[in-house]
Amino acid sequence: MPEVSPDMAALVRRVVERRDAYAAAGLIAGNCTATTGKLLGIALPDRATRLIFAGLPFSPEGLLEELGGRADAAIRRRLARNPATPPGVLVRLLRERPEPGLNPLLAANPRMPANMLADLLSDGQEATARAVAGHPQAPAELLAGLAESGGPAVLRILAARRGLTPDLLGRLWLHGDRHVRAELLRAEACPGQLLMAAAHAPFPLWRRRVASHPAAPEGACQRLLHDPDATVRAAVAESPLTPVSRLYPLLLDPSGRVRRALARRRDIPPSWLDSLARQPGNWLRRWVARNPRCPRQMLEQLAYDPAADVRRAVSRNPASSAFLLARLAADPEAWVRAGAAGRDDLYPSVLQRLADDPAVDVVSAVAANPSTPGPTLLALARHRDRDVRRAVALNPRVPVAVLDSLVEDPYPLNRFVVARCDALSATALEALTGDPEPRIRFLAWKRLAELAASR
Amino acid sequence: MKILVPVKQAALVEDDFELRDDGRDVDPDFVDLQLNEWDDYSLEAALQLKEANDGIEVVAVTVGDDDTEDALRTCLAKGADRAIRIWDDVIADADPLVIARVLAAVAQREAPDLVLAGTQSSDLGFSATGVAMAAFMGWPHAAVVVALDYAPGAATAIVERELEGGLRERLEVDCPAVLTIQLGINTPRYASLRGIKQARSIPIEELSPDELGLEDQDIGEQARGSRVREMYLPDKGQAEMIEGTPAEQAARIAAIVKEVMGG
Repeated sequence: MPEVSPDMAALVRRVVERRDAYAAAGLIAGNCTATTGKLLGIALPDRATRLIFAGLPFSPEGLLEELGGRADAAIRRRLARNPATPPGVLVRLLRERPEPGLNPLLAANPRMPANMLADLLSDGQEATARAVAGHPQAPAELLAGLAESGGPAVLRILAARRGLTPDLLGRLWLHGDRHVRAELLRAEACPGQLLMAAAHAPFPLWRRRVASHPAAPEGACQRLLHDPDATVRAAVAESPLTPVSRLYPLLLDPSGRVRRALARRRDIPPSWLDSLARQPGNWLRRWVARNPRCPRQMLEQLAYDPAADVRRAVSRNPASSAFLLARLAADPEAWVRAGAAGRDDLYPSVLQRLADDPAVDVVSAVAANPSTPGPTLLALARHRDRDVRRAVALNPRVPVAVLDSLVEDPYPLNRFVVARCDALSATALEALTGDPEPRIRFLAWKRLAELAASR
Repeated sequence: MKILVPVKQAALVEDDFELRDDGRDVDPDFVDLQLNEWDDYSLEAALQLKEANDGIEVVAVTVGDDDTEDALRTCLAKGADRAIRIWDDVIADADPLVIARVLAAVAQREAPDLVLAGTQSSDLGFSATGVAMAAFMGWPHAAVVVALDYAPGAATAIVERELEGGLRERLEVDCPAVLTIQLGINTPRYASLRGIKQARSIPIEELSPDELGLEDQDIGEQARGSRVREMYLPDKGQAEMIEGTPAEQAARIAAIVKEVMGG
């Protein structure tokens, strides 16, 4: 089939003929600036369609700007909620002083300009205060005011913000309850003095936060290593800041949770892994088997473990050799074979054999494997199972011809995945312009318009 | 052999919606229409019987206006052989009894060997149409069917019904019969793009109640067993997450009880 070379004027003509709202919206989204008025008329033919586009997060800005001029309360609500609505439209909605219920929605919209939030906050609604407290660009002075006057819900939202300043943190610590303070103990700006004090607090949640904090004082971590609460000790074991040499006492910790946390560490000595592998509990051996520091000999032993989850973990360990993977690829458990099938360092002959495996999980892993050759992927693109076909579409090295063959997949999600692939040919995009699914048509027209605009 | 599959174009209501001016239904601007989920399964059951046996015709039927034609096109795209749509403005806002009466008239005309309907519709959920249809026709029926064993032409079908508490009931039903199919009985197929294209050119038979021999007394206002008076959103309840020590939580609960009881 000859490759289609999209031409914007021709695309517009075809959309005008088809009167397809999603095609018109796709062209607008794809930088088609010609005859925008006509395209808008096709994209927004009636109230039901206007309502749909007002709420869609992928609606193009030009269309949302047009909708911003409509005197329709339901459309205004959807625009206020839509994270794609341009800032100018949000400000316009605010200045029109609409129904009060719109303010919290506007304040929660991440694209609402920060300098308008004070205006919104003046409405006195608790819902607006909560929305401003969570707004990513809220100015520091507004947040400080909310920390002084806000209710418990507002304080909780403020405490969960990233990048808290020391000033805001101090105010929240003063006014917040135990749960707010627990959130504050996560903050980067949390002073060492506070962390040290929290390490002695009677609340395990506080002590756990201290154990996980990247700036936890030395003395606090040492103390928490012997904490009576297992979740706190596990947090110490997980923290990359805790030198592994200090964790030796946890090797025989009574809590499996703590030992599992230890087994996950990438800097653990092989002799410790050996000790952990001999302890009871499949879950623990599973983490040992996943650890890239696990010695080859130990991996070979674990590959014969009676628990399938442990063998599966070996199959996913980057330290497992191709030889070991070949053995696991013949495992009686499909879940273990699937683990091996996902490895791009598998022997080609083994990968080829797994492509004919009766288990869908195994074949899906082959389909997603970047080492799977093109002809095999082409065959898998016709597999009876839709998840296998989707795995082919998601394969980072899928040849264009294989991808193109999936544009007629009966499963709409698979066609959607294909429509999003950068490698898809213009001819295949052309085939998707008549797709029964509106979102897929939108994408196809958008991408064709982008191609035409870039010519 | 013929299997009749009654289907419905069900309404999916969006999160943010408004009611119609008469307050008896959702404003159609806020509704997305698609084939009722249960009907996907009943159609699939019919198509599987058709694929496993020669000489079976699957006929999809719906009662509805032009907008409901998409549901029938979906059935045709998946493999139904024919589609019938019945409509008259008199049937607008009809209750399940009237719909069942119309469908029973279609069944009388088509003389199917089996009727496979969905257990319920996803929008109104009466679970009544299939069962009422059987009653009007005087046919045996089985509801909430999760397994079906039927050989074309056989005098009986063996079905399994889903009961409360995870129980199942195996039932022998005399045929012809109406079976209402439950979700999960099979895995419904997706229509191929070729099937969708082909379905666009297949004519849909359009009939009026009059052509089925139904009179106003059968389908008009007086034939309805129920009428929607009002559709509304009930007031939202209040919820509060109670935190603190057990003693603090108990104190807060006591305060709420006092507040609510007025004591």
